[in-house]
Amino acid sequence: MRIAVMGAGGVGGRLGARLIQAGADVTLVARGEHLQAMQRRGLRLNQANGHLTVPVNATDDPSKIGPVDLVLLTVKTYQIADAANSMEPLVGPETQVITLQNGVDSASVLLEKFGPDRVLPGTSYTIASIESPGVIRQQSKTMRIVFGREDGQITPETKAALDCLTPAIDAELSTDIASVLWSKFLLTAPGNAINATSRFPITRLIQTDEGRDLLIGAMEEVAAVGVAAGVNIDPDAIQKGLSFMESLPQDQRMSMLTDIEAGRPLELEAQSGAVVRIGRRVGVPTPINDSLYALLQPHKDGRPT
Amino acid sequence: MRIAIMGAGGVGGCLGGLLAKAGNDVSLIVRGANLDAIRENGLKLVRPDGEFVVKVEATSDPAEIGPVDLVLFTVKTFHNRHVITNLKPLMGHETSIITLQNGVESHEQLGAVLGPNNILPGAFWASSHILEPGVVVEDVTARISFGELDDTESLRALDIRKVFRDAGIETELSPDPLRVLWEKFILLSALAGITSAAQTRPKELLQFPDARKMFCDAMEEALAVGLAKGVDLPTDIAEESLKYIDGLPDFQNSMHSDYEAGRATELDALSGAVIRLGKQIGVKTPVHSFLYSVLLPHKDGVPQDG
Repeated sequence: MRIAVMGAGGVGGRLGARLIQAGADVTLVARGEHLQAMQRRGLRLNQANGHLTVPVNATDDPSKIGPVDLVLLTVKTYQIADAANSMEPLVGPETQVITLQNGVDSASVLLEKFGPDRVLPGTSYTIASIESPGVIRQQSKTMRIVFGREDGQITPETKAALDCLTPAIDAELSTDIASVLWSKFLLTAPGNAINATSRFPITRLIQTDEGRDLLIGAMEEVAAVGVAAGVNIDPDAIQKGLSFMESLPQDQRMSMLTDIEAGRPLELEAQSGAVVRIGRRVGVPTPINDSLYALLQPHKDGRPT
Repeated sequence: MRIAIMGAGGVGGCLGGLLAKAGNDVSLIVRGANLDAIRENGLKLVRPDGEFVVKVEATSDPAEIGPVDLVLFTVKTFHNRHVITNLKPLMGHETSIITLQNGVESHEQLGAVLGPNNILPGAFWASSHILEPGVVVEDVTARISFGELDDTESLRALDIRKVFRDAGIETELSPDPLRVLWEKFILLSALAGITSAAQTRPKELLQFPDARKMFCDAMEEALAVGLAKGVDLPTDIAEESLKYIDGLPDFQNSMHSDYEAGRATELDALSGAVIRLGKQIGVKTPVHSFLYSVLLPHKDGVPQDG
């Protein structure tokens, strides 16, 4: 099976390296200095207990790869529209595309373009980022992905995609992917935005009554929006989300805080922006998320440092 | 007039310089490098239309000054509880105190310790800051409004107004100083909160419709609290304040500057006060509660985030 990974950042680079190590036929699509470094020296993965370097096939031109069996789309949410166009040469009639972005509506552009038989919304559970060109830093020990057809069906194509991933990666095929995406979204949309707005580690923020009430209130809004949108939301989701936040290291920064401090673009539209937009569509008020969204908008496209 | 100024920062330094230049007997109560610089070189005031240096008394110990005719209380609000008792040596039988701080609670805090009769609440509009020890820059010309709590036009208030006006300070004697404090407070608490939390100056932030709405919602909350407390306030204040801010040249709010520099902020006297007073009177303040929660980690200066 031929695999292309669109976007060789923390998630894509880590997935690609694992698959290559397991002997899969993988090409990474990347750009700029990161691409050049990978072409010259391979992809290096740094982790707490050491590092390893994997030789990779990498290009910035999908037409040189041609149609593949499986595409893993791992670009940032604000790069999806561009990626959807540039990945056209990769997508043949039988190709399966797994989208692995944050948010709950990140697959919509792809679904519209390639249709529900070829696009499988999904999400990843890992903490990793580009440390320097050609180098990925893995902050979490584990990596897991979950994906599935929007209609919940398990088809021969989705089975084949799963079978090609599982030798290398902890992957799961879900029959209710919306519920999976919302469970993560419930935590990451408020968590990232509160973390970025307060410019303070969230684990420590929720040690104050004010910070804890704020996170719970924001998560409750997201849960209410999800329920109104017809998604199965785990009744314990908020308690689980809070426990997860409490379990993080004291000074853990979520990605949006790291991004705002570095002046990089934010995944704001896919996170708080989506809460606000979907909330309006289904008629659920989201005042806390509205405020977070309002105050982060000036930073959305990054700022010169 | 014999005048002592507690807190010779941007506000106190600016007023002290102008009042001293006009021939008043001014003493500044000030500490550290600022004290040393003022003792050594005098106080330098850089104004939009020129600059001057004036010799003033400066000390860190109010007892060295003794009773005065007028005290201007211009410290940052978070110093109030530590310094109010230090005012006692300045108080004679006829001493008046004008509070010129942000927030709406200072006159009550001073009144609780020193008795309410000699306290005249006031507000200060300008943009002034300490450039370096002993040097204050006044970017926008100072304007003061103050008055008696019992709405009278007292002789002492008229005297003080004359002294201020003779020093070239635009001064208004208000029949309702609480209204003056609240008008400034409604605007400032909202503006300081949103621009600090967004880390973005008003000119840029208010280009975003969502932020404009949040700014207005925050002002409406503080207005509702003020009205519930019985303060006589114009109900179109949010709209008027927005127009006023839109009309100003680019500037940065002082709480935003304090936050950015890792200094303590006046959060408790601004959003904190909206929430506190709202709770007392039964008015909900969700926007200010939000702002307070996200700004709280930085309230006392750079948080210890390892």
